[in-house]
Amino acid sequence: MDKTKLNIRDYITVGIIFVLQFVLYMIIATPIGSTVIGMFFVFPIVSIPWGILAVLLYSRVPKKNVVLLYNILFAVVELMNFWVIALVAAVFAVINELIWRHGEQKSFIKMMVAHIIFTLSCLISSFLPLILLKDMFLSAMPNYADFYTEVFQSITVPIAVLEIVLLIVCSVIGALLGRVLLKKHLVKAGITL
Amino acid sequence: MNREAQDKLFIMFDPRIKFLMVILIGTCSFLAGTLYTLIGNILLLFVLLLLNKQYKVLVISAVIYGCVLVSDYLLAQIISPNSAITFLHMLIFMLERLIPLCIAMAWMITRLFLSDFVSAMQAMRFPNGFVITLTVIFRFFPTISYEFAKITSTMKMRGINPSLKNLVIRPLLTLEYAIVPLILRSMKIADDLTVAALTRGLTLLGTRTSYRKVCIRPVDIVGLLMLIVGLAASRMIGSL
Repeated sequence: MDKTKLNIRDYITVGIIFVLQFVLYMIIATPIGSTVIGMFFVFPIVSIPWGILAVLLYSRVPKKNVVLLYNILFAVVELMNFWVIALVAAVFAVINELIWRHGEQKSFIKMMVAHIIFTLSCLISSFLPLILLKDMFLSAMPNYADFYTEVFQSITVPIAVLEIVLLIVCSVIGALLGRVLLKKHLVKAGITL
Repeated sequence: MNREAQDKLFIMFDPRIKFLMVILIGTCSFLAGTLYTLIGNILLLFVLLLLNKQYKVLVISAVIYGCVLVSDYLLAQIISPNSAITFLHMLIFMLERLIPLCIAMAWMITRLFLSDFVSAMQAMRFPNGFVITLTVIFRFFPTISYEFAKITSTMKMRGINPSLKNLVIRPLLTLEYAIVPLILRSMKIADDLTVAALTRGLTLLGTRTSYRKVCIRPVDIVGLLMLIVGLAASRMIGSL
């Protein structure tokens, strides 16, 4: 059996970790995202627990195609939302896989980079509707079109930059936390090598 | 209740057709220009829920969507919007487009036979690994809620439940106490599922056969066509 290829155990691990990721997102994003300010902090906050799961997955399955499969699942879920978002997520998945394939897969830095690119793809995909639907939103509110145009112009660039920086910092924290937790609990339990 | 018995009670669509229907509803709701189009799409979803006899989901969805529509109406009455109102308006705007998708997914997952799903996806020549991963995702969703409920109740007994207070006072510890047992249990389940999959011969090469014939039937085509006509009609009504 070729040990560099994904086997059935790896596919099941990817599926289960994806579900855990989704559930964590729902648990954290629902209360935080229900407030106006909280909406902008959802992905940075969520990227911390996601970091634990990402490090667990990549250290348990340090093989080619695992990043592609894990990231493409997000694109499949987004396919049910809007195909353009799914397309963007799929492109990010391919880029992430190409970076992952280059060099040693067991390196922690590699795992962290894969996690950062994945969270960035989630953020950009979630911001995309606001950009794509801007005109539709403005046409739905003809009375306030001028006001909302100003709002869109003033908030888009600075908040997007701040959000991306914050997301990268939180993703790094998440990956580091993942490494600590893995060493503290999961290596002892024989979950990871 | 087995599949044959359910076939007699409900209109059971092919998993591929269900998936296609969800994509269509999601995209049409996302690109809906007016509220009338969205309401049309929601009504179509309610018909699908009725056909699937998901009355509880129907009532809950109707109440939630009704609240969102009322909020939208009330926000539109505000004469001088500030930045907070703007964000709320955007939030409502997105919710109006996302709730139909959530309802559609709830409809798709209910009475989805995983063996049929695997056969259908393999018939479409999707990579085996991808099909197995997707199947695990569908299979694991009900299990995870059960596992998490057990972990939460144990945490409550020890006074470290993942409440808002604990999340604010000691976020990292609460996160650790919740996530580590969840991961340990999930990895144990992953091992069990691997053994089950190996026993069922999922790793074997060659063409697999299935006990039941999975194919697209006339009822699937009619259902899909009716949905397309319904979506087109609600879009036309919305643009009038």
